[in-house]
Amino acid sequence: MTTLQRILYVEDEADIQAVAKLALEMVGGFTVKICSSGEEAMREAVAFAPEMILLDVMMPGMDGPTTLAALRTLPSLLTVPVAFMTAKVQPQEVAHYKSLGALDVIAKPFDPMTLADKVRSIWKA
Amino acid sequence: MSTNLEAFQALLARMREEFLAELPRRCDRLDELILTLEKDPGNHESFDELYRGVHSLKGSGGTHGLSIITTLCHQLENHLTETDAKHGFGAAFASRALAYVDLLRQVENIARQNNPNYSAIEADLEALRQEGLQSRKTGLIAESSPMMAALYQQALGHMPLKLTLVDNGLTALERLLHEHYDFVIVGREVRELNGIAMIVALRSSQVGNQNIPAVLVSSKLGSVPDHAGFSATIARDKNLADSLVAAVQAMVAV
Repeated sequence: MTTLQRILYVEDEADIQAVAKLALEMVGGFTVKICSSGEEAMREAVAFAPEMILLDVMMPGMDGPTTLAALRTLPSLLTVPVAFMTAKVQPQEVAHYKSLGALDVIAKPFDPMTLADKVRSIWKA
Repeated sequence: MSTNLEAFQALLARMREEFLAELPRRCDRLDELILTLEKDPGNHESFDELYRGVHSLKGSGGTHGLSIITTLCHQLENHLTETDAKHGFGAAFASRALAYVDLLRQVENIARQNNPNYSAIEADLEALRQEGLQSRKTGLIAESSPMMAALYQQALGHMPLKLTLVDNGLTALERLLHEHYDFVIVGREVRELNGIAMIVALRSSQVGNQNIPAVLVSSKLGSVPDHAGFSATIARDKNLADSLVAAVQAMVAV
């Protein structure tokens, strides 16, 4: 099995982008590309060739689910594992996000110290 | 602990400090937007910016380990969501929203202390929450059909109301005679005591609810006695949900 290296994170909040990037790179050793919107992700994702995609749910413009649907139209991203990041983690909400094609959901606010492990465990599942 | 983790934690601490240092400026902007909305309730751009600003603080605060900010902003978000532009913005809306922002400002200093104690903020937050609950208009729904009752509740679910549902006309009348309500919605055919008889009885009583506005929902709109004094009669048709929302908005705006 290959190891996870390249993560695309789509998130509109600058503070959260910065903390997540630090956590994933410094603690997890991943290579992280941040996109601030679904539109930017559509432009950048193919060239970055992510092995995993993290999507904020609530974003202005294209929200997380819309971004996921759009990314899935790009052949090279058809099977890349995706996790949503959201504060809405009631069982029925998680089930809904999984029904959209997400592998799992990461609760926000996340713990920066354990985020990398969480992402790795989702990717391995 | 490895050097890498130590460096990571030092960076996190620095980013948290930057976030706290920026908090007063962000609070100033929220204040400006609230005051703008008080003067100009229909200003959707200001509302959207206010909502985004609060939502952004909620996410960022939590990410920096400041769960008090997440809790506070979540409550303020609810206040904004429950506020309806048609009648909710105004002095009362602004006053409570500004009170939330004042509490946000207090977080900055407390968060920098060695053992931050947010209990005073939490107490004020709870008081604001209670105040919000008390300021909600209360309505009684008397309807024996579970399907119709669910439809009423769904139609009115987005409004800042506290609704009580009763499926028996006698029970509904008893509650109207003993508990305070701002309005009542009745179906025409309610078990034990029909809706019209219920409201006629209420009008002939001497209780505080005697003259509260009442809406009758019925498939037969004719033959409703004038002395029942219904504010509106609504047909059970495809427009029921919209008609009900309009009637309740008119009643709670009085």
